[in-house]
Amino acid sequence: MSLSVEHLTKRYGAFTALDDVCFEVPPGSVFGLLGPNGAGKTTTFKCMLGLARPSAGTTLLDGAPLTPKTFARLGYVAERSTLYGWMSVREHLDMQRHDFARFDAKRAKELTDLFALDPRSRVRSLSKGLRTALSVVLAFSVDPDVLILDEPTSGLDPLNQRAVLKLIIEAAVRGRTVVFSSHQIGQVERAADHIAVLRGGRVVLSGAVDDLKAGSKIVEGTFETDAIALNGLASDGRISRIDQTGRIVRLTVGSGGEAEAQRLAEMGAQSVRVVDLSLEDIFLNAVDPARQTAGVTEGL
Amino acid sequence: MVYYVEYLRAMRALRIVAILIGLILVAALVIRFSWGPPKPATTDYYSRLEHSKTAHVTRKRLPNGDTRTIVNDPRAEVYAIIDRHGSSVVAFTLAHTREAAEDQLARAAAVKSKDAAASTHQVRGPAYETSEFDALFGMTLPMGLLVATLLGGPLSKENDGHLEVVWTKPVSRTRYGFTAMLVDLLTLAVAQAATALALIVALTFWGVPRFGLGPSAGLVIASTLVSPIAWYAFLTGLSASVKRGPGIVLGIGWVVAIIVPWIASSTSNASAPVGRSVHAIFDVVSDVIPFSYVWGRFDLTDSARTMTAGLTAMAALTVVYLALALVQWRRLEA
Repeated sequence: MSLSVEHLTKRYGAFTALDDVCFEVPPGSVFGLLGPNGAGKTTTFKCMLGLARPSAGTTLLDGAPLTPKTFARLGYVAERSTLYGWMSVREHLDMQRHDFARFDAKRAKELTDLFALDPRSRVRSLSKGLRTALSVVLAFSVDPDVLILDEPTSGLDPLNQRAVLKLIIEAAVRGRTVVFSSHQIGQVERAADHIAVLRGGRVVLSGAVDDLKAGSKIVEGTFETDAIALNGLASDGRISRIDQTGRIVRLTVGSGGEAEAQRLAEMGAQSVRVVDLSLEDIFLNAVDPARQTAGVTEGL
Repeated sequence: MVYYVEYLRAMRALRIVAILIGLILVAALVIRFSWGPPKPATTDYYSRLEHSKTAHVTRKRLPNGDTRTIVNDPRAEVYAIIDRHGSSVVAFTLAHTREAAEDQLARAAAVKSKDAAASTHQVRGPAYETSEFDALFGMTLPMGLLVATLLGGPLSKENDGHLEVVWTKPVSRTRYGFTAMLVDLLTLAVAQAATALALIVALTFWGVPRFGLGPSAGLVIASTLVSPIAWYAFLTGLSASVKRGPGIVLGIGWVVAIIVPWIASSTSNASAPVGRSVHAIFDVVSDVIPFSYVWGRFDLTDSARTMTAGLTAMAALTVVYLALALVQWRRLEA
């Protein structure tokens, strides 16, 4: 199923939490929603699902607005635990069995085993990570066509984080559409094929991860000392950003990078290499306007 | 079955009801065996009649198994017919002469004595000691109010951190809220029925109870059922928009519901302008508090018309509060 978010805007009085947020999630793809704290990721999810009323805009699933029936094919993991502390793990699974026609008991058992969840445990006795794990189990056990996961690895240990990422990728392989957010850029880079970056409630960057990465290169030079004369680089229109951390200088360039590598070598760099932009670089460029100006940023 | 969580809440409430019922039965057993076998209040009086030196006593068994004792004491101008079922006196006819006593029997009217002073009351209908079932059912009201408080505010309980779970179920908010409330109302009825049954069982410790109906049985039973429902609706309507700490609202609800009608009542005869103003305000507020009808305005010993009016008011408040709760809940955001 395809999912499109169209011009979502959410205002709380004079404060605009979301400002004309738009993105498309192709069927069977994994979409990562990135942004610093308070950027509006959770509000976006809430507005998408109708948990909060958008001031404007809509969310379409296969071209149709969401209705209560849509939720039969949708799995959601909220940012914070929304489970019932007084209920056991088994009772939560029973709840899903009663509420969702597509509940798969066998799958639920596999997943509870995967995260070592004791069905008899009361939720209030579970750690934060295990509560997140249970939320993930509940979302995946109803065999949804669309998964919306708001920080689904929050509080999980590295092993379980990896398990959740595997589940996300497997779901996409099986044709499910996944939208998820995470503060761990590495996880998004591993799982997502499309991303959008939110800053201050606005989408400042979106697209296919491969396209975004292919659009820029990093030229990295290592010098003998940290007293490096970078004069002249800042005025080079091909360089969108210059970072210096100690003896290492990183130049973000549009493409190629050979000419810039040659310049760093001429400036005395002991070693120079040209590498693809990482998703972290893309994210940081997008969310920190100061870093996008062509100038020297030291001490990063 | 989208109401599974509410069903679990209801089961938890019923577990508490079961514990309380168990305590009631244990208390009844303790009382029964501490105080010995039941004795009719009038035993001594009957005994004195039967054992009078001038009395001629005859006994026979009636076709229904009861034992009839006829006490003929012309010197004392007593002709008594005492029917017993086991050790209980179930009918008692007292007259000055045999003819008068048999005349009473012929008119199918039984006379029973309320106490040893032999004040007699003509009763119509079956000549048995009966308990009024509606009065017994009225005793389930405290349990109903307790369960209504336990289950009250189901929507605010969801507001307290579970809306993301509830509102991502494949069902509309209205339907979810409605079914959750329906589960609670059924639970209330079950709790009261179970309590009534337990009270009947407790009565059997003193012998097989025979039930009749009081003059306003229908109204009493209806008001006993509706009062907790109205209270539940009040709590639910009051808290439907509350997101944090629904228990506080429920607690405040109790305090308000008791204090406001009390102030309205205690200032009803106020002569000072301030007192009259206070009364006017609190009296109006009392109109929308179901407890006003349970405790004060709705007096079970009052006339049928008053009871009907109170019952109607509570039913109307119930509908209004439940509808208000749903309207508020639909407008809420997670």
